[in-house]
Amino acid sequence: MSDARTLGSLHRLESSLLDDQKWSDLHRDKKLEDGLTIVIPNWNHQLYLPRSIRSALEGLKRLEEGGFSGEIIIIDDGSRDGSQKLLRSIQMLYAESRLRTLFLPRNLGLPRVRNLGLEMSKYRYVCLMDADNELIADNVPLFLQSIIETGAALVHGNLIDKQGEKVSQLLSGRVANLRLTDRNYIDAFALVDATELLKLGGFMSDPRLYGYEDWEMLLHLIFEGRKVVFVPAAMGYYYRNPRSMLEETVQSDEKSRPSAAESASLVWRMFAQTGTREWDPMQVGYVYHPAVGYIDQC
Amino acid sequence: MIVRPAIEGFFRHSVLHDELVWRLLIACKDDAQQRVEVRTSRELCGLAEEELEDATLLVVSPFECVGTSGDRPAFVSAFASARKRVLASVEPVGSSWYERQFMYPLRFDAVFDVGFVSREDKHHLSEVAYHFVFNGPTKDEERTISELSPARERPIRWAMVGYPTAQRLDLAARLTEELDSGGFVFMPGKPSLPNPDGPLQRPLARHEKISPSGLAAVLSKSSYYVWTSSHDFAHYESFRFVAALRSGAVPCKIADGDTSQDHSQIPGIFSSVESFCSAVQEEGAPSLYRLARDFYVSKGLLATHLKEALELV
Repeated sequence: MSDARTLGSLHRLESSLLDDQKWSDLHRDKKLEDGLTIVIPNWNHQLYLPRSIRSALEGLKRLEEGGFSGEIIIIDDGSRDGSQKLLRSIQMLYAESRLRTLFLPRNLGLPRVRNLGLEMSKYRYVCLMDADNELIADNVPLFLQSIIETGAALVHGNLIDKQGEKVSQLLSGRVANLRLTDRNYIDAFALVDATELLKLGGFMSDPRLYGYEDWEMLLHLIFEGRKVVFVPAAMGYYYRNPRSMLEETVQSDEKSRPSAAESASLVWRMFAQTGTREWDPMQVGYVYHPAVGYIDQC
Repeated sequence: MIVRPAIEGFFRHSVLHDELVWRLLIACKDDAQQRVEVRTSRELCGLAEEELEDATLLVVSPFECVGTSGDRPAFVSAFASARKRVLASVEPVGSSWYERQFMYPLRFDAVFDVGFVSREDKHHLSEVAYHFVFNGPTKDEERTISELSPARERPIRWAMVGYPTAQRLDLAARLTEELDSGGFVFMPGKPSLPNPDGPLQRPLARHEKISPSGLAAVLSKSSYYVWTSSHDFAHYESFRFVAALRSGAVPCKIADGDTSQDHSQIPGIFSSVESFCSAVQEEGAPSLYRLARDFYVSKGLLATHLKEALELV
């Protein structure tokens, strides 16, 4: 079986879509290294799209001011809430090549849409954000600089978790270490090296992992010896709203989906059996800031 | 003789205690009349009575010293053999973790509260004499700090380091929004202590703390080192102040109204985010740094304060 077929059978690569000529044209084999693609998957989040897109556009401005290039890809995953109409208006308003929208004819689910974004990205470095997230634009160049300078497969920063106006916690603000095998504390709202992630087959879309695909990806990266780096600066805002993408994952009660405990248990089993015990018992993650370099921990 | 916890067993390595041990050691060396050595709690157990009979013990973190000694009766016996026994503390006086240090049957002659503000009024253990020791600079620090002239602009505008509490999270978010979004924020979760009676399931991960050298590297690129207390006790974190000054950063504590009034003589205490941001805009880092430095250097060396306290025991 070819690599692509093997990965496809593991629900990793979006092979079914890319077999179609119309979609396969979107695939970018050669990616540029001097910029950032911001990928925003959307599914029924019309209400939050203006905020996320505005922050991404601001982020592009900051990148340009810092001497980098950038683009935004918004992939609508078969929304039924009027998102598509809004996105078409935004596309018209910002009639430029830096903002691309893609409308999927049917709902594929977040991991497959993220994989599609990685495939489509013009740039090697990709910022993955949900439609209800908000980027802190001023810090986008800092994170891009960090991923370039460290050669990391994934760079994450502090996410300010807001419930209404109240800050409830900092998400993603911890360094990757062996505790990651117990539970995931690093969010997918991060910068990734698309080339590296695609080499490993992208996010798994196995339905049994529903809502835990980012955890599986993180453990997979570490298991494969890729670098995961924490940059102690604010990357963006995470809003907990009744319809937020996070809450929908946590509260999912569709009968066809496994429970959160079942999915977590599956990820844990996969990696407990395949080598996480061989990790550096002290640390696998790094702390880095472009102004300082790698920062010693104890 | 300075006694510190042996770093082993389930007890965790404390950067603050290491720093206290280091400062006491250097202060004794700065004062040429003080002979000093550092022993771990485990090493103390192995000392003969005659080696201790003329010694004054400065014990850092007795709770952990007993726990890591490996032989509690031997530790208690060696402790009792010393001429004088002093607890060196940096904990907020009156807090449960201050009082926890007196839990074991160790009879201290005195406690040295190392900090910026005397809290004798909160010390309720009448059988143990209280002496305040101002956490002044070592000779090297005095020279370094006096020679530093921080630039107006540094790559990182402000830095916050510590474990997360509701107040700290709120402060970090407000500074991000109201001062500068490029602040350095490292607030990993507070590590939970493993169960000492249970088997360790897996090797201990690092504590996700920045090492002292890592913190110095960050602060040397930061204009302001900002913090707020993780508790409600009126206590000033002098070690943070010193770490900031040594690296040319301005020490800034955001405290509630009562605490900021209590500590009004210390520069860099602000009663609100607004007052801090105003000071940053109106005065700037070089001016605020000079204020903090002049205050600190004017207070005299740690060696002098330590000597005075030792003479009282």
